[in-house]
Formats: sequence, structure tokens, C-alpha cells
Amino acid sequence: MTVRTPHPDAAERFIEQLRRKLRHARRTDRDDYIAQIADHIRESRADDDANDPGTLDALLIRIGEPSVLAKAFYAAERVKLNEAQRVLLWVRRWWIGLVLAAVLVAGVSFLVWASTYQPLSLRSSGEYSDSVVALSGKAPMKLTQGNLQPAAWKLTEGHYRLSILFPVDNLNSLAVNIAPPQIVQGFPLPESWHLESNDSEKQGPFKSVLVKGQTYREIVFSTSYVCKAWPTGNPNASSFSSQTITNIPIVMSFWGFQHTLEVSIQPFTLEIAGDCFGE
Amino acid sequence: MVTANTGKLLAQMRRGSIEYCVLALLESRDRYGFEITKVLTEADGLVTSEGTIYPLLTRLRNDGLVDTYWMESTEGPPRRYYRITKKGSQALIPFREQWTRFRDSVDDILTRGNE
Repeated sequence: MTVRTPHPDAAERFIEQLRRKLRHARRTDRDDYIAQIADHIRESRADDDANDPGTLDALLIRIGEPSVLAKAFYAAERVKLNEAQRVLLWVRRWWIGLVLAAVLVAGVSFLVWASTYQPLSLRSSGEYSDSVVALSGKAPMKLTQGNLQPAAWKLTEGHYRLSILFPVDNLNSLAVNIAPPQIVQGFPLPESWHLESNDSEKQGPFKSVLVKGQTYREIVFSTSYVCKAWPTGNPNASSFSSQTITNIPIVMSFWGFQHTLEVSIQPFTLEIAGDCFGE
Repeated sequence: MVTANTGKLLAQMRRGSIEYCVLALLESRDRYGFEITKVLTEADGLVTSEGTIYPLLTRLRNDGLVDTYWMESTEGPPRRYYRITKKGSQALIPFREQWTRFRDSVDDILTRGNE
């Protein structure tokens, strides 16, 4: 419903301001309310016989500020809105939307940061000459001479222990966890580990270990295998399986976010002439 | 909360009673929006912003306490008339009783305060 008044500027400005204040309201309800206010202006003007701008201003003051009317309108609307509509109405306010958007951006940024946080400097010691030892049975046979790389070890029959020294440097201030790595595919996770620098901290079986901020830890992963030679006549007796280890997958976790860090090590090869299994 | 601000004081006193004033006005006869607003505005302190009566009327209609109909006017466009419903009349009965008791109690206490 359109209402014309003798002073269209002030009245129409008022209606336009009210319309802006009610822009988030349901259209039919808003139009109905605005039509009522326009009718009220018209009726008041007829009643007061007030056609001069001063009286119109007084009338608009009596009707109330558009913001006051909008507040009353929304208060009445809320009574019949369901919860979802109320939330929507609330969210539609621009500043709340802005705050929510800022929170969302901050949250996403944090998630991206946390999911990519990796403060560890990882390096291997490279000393593997002593890392394969026989606990019993036949000694491991070193197939390579001197420092020829990759070092190759042949395991025949016995109880062997493979140990890898693993230094971990946390360069940043937040602590992270590292989980036991699968050193050799097909074999179990390390059965024990200890801090190289302090034997009293020997622990086992392996559990994830906390590397605090700006600390350095040397960790030795150890795992042992029992190997049995193939019995005479076994078709596999003359064959052996070979596996070259070039890196270790270290699983690091930070606030529930996990990264698998492939850490290059000085490669070595295990040649297994028998049937080996984790102890 | 006790406040010395007259505007706030009136707003607090108006809240909860003005709906019933509208219903009481409609008991005698049906009225259109401007007419209701005019009567309430003339009653001292009942309405500060005339435009806020319309959302109140809408709420009463949504609550089924009043209903509306359009009637041609000789002075301009058709007018929307408000009519009290049976539910509205029933809602007014306990308010009248309680309001009288409440008013008398407050009057009594205020009078005692002057003794």
C-alpha cells in the first residue's frame, strides 16, 4: 500500500528508514507493518489537520524512531518465530555475521596451521655398523666391505637385534608426540626404545614419546628377530629375501593432528636366508 | 531493580499490562489501529512511541486474542479493524481480578510508606 502525504520527503524518508531497519524481516510481515505505519501517518495527519512540516516532524517523533519501531517489531516477531528462524535472524545482523566470519577464518587458519605444524628436525646418526647384532646363534654376516653403502647384512640362523639411533630435535616451543615407526616392513613395531644419553630412561615396550619444546632427545629403536634356516630340501633353501631400508616413517602427532615424516637414513640391506619372525 | 529513571520506570510498569488495555478497549467495540493508538496515547504514560502499538496488535492477533477485518472508510482507504476474540475476553477476566488486587496492594504499601 502506497501512501502519499503533502510532505513526501520527511514521511517517505521515515518509511524508507524503517524499511531499511526491517530489511531482515519476512517480507510480508514487514510490508504489512510499514503499511500500518503509513496508514497511521495518514490518519494522524487527517486527524491533526497538520500539513506543515513542523507538525509532521512532531508526528514522526510521536510515532517513534525507526530503530525503536524495528526493535518492537522484531520483539513481537520473535514470539512466533521458531528456534531456527530466531537463530537465522540473529545471524543476519551484519556485525554478528562479521564476527562469525572472523571466528571461522581464525578457526580454519588455526586448523590449517595445527595440521601442518612440524617442529622436528630429524636426522639419523648414520652409524649402523653395530646396529645388527646376534643375541644368540650365528653372527650376522656383513656382505659389504668398509664404508661401502648401503651396508648389507645377511641373517641366517639366530636371534638378531636391529637398533637404530634416532636423534630428535624440537626446534619450536610446543611439544609433540612421536609414535613407534615400522622400521622393517613385515616385522613388528619396535619392542623397546630408550634414550641413548641416559640408560636409566630405558623403556619398553615402545609407547609414543613426548618431545618437549626446544629439547633434544636421542632415541634408539630396537627390535629383534628370530631367524631359522630353511630345512634341507626346502625349495626356498637356496634363496633369500632382501630388504633395503632407506628411511623410517616417524608418526608425529600434535593436538590430534598426525603427520608421517619420512626420515632418510643411511641405507642398509638385510638379506634373510631363512624364515624370520619378530620375537 | 529499582530505578530513578522515569522512562524506564514507566516502561517496566507498561510491560505486561498494555496488551490487556488494548483488549479492554476492544471489549466495548471494534476499533481500527489508529483509533486504538490514539486512545492509548491520550492515556498518560501508556504509550511513548505510537508506532510500537502495531507489533503489539500483530502479536495479539497471532496469539488469537484478537482478529481483524477490513472495512471501507469514507475518509480514505479501507481500515483494518481489530475485534476481541472469545479467547481474548477470557484472558482479560483474570487480569482484571489480579490487577485490582495488585493495584490495591501497591496502593496500600505506598500509603503506609507515607504514614
